[in-house]
Amino acid sequence: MARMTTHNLDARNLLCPMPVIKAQDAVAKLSSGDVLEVTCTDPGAAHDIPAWCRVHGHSVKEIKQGSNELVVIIEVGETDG
Amino acid sequence: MSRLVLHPTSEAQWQALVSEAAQAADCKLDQDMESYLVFLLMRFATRPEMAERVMALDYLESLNTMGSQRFEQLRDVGDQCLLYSGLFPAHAARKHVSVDYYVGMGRTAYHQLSEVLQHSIAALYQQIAFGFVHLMDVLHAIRAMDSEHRLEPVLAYELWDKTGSRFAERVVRDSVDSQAFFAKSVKIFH
Repeated sequence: MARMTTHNLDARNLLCPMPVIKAQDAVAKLSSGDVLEVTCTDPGAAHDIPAWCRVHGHSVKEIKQGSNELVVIIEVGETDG
Repeated sequence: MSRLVLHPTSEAQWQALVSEAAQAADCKLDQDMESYLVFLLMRFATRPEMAERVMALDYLESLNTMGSQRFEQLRDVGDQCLLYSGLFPAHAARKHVSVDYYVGMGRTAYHQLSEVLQHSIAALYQQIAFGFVHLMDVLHAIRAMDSEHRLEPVLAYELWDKTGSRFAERVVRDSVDSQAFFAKSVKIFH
């Protein structure tokens, strides 16, 4: 069985929709079950990334909201190529 | 005629719409460009007021600001110009500017963004600046899905002439073909 790994993506200071595009590129290199933690500063990412995950079969495990940044934790689903 | 919507989420609907339009406009968008357009349309759908700004003023203001505020203003100018040139091409005429005005300003804004941002993101903005007319063509194809909003041949000619838009070129050619066909038919029946 493949081991799940956790990866980090620094999307701070990127304006929407760039965080979701960077997340999309990062997820494409990961395997099902892997976790990607995306750190963003644009609040729009809290909407864009979950919306993208819903369509592409990934799940958002948690959104941690800080004072200046947020971390979206994604579990990679079956990759859709 | 209303369209049957089969996609479960709004992002899926926008994604399907952009894919279909890209195919109709004969534009091959890579995944990043397609996603950029999908999320731009999603943002516009929830904030339609973003297309009501005076872009030249925003652009000038962006030149006098620094850091993230500057990035945000340049992005907004680029995005708004893309929306105007693709979804509201007649707007330029109402503002007494040429149709390529928004294309030029949008391209410049994205290009400037690519020059001030970090490398990986800069590349994407540069791609958007270079592919601006392709993205505009996809928006035109979305617009043309509603037959009431097809591009007028005269406007299409101007757009083709000034920006090299392939979608506009096709509108012009289709219009010329149908007029030639009409003239031929009239000749036959007389």
